[in-house]
Amino acid sequence: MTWRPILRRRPDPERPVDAETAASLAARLDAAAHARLGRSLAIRHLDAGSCGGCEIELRALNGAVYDLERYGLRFVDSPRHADVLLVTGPLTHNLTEALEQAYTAMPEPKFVVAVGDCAVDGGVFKGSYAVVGGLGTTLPVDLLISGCPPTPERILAGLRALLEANARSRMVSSR
Amino acid sequence: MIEPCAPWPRHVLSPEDWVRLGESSTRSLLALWADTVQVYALFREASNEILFVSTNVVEGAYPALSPAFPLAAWFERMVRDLWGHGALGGTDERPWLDHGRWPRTVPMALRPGSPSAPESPEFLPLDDETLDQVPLGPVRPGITPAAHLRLTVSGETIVRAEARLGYTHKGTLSLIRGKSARAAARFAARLVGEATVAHSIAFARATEAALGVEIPPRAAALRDLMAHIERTLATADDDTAEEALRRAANIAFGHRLMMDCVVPGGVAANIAPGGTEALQQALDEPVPDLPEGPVSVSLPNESGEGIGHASGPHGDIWHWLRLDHGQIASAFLCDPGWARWPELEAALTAIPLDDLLTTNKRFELPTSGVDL
Repeated sequence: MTWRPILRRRPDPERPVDAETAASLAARLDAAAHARLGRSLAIRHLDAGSCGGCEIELRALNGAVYDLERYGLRFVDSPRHADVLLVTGPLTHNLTEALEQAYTAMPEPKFVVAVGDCAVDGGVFKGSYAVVGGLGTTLPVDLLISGCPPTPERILAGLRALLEANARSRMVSSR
Repeated sequence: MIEPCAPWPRHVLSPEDWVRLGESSTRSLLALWADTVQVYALFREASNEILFVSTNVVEGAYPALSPAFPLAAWFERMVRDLWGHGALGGTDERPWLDHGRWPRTVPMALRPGSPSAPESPEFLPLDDETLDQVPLGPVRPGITPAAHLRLTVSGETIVRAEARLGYTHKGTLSLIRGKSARAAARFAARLVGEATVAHSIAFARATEAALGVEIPPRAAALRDLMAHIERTLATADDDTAEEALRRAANIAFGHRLMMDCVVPGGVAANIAPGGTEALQQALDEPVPDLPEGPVSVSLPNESGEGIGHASGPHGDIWHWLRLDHGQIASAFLCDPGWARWPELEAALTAIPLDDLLTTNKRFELPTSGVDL
């Protein structure tokens, strides 16, 4: 392949860039970067007494069909690396301390998501001596995803809404 | 004395005869549980026959079976935590389900006790000062159920693995008490999500045995089909195939996990139009022809005692219940986890620490079934 003559021609002497245009472009780029790079959330799942039904659908999100990672969402192992604490189960008394420790270990800003009827309000286990009943009793919950268990589409829709809100809030805070 | 229980009558034993159960070395323990006045045990004989026995609790105690049957130890700890009956001469007296955090102790007893103080779990003592302990859980890496593993390691080798469960205890047995079988089936369906169909079938069979009810052939065939789908889902190693089958199950039965689709007396609903074709495609095998007829029968409000069995994705499931005029007076739901978790402990022993995750993954045990 040969270079066309036009590409080999020397450019005209450079003129100075317009400072105003550069500044406004930089501002737009900054906002776009925040909007783009803000579109990523690390999720730590925590079983607060789940039967395992919600976990089946969470694992499906990780699979090739739903492929959570293409949206910038991913599961991480440590709460210290997480932006989102995703909780399943009616919150048993035996797990309240583990839940509080995981929440405390997470860096700010952090989101709490309740997945499944149990995590929303205790579900069928409401009123049992062994459950606190609903994540909201113990932590500030940002998003409730109901269902027994909620379908992967539903969980994904909820998490994407959170992603969107997170990206917007970062844009606002960067101004 | 023999009490009626279908399909296996219950032998009420004196404490002396109860202790003598351990003399047969070919007998294996399937489950041990209690209610407010008796302790029950289910065995499988060498001839594969089922033996169902019970003994009265005298002055808050009964003779322990754990010296003869090691598997009984976790059950005895569970019976003490829920009903307060002590196992005389038991091998392990540490708490199990009760972590000292409930608003009352012995919640299933006639007179529950006042709350105790939260206590950290007590593990087997370290008999060698050169060994180290690695605590793991209850929040473990990955999308895993809550459980604690205490590993004793010598260098890079695990010399002892001890599981501490009970974190996901939801008080299922107390919620079941006093409900109708239809209402209680929702709790059986939510004991273990991965085995919701199998647990629902075992629970329904126990109810039907107690009431002497025969379900229609179409209901039985639909149950078999659902159980087959559930086992296929549990062993699927390809997540696109699993997802296809879950979608087909949703078309056929209205739920991706088929939760609440099996009910005492039959199945909740007929297979939806187009369901057979969807399943056939997703299963990649022909779906057997279903007999015509109704899919459920109504349950009489009668009394009785029954045992139900089903094979789930993780092993044999045994449910027992006693109905009092259509309401559940007492019940126990036995998950295969009671036998499988001790197997995992054994499998984790004498392996390198690096193999922990793969061995754990091979078992993939739910905790909710054992935690009740």
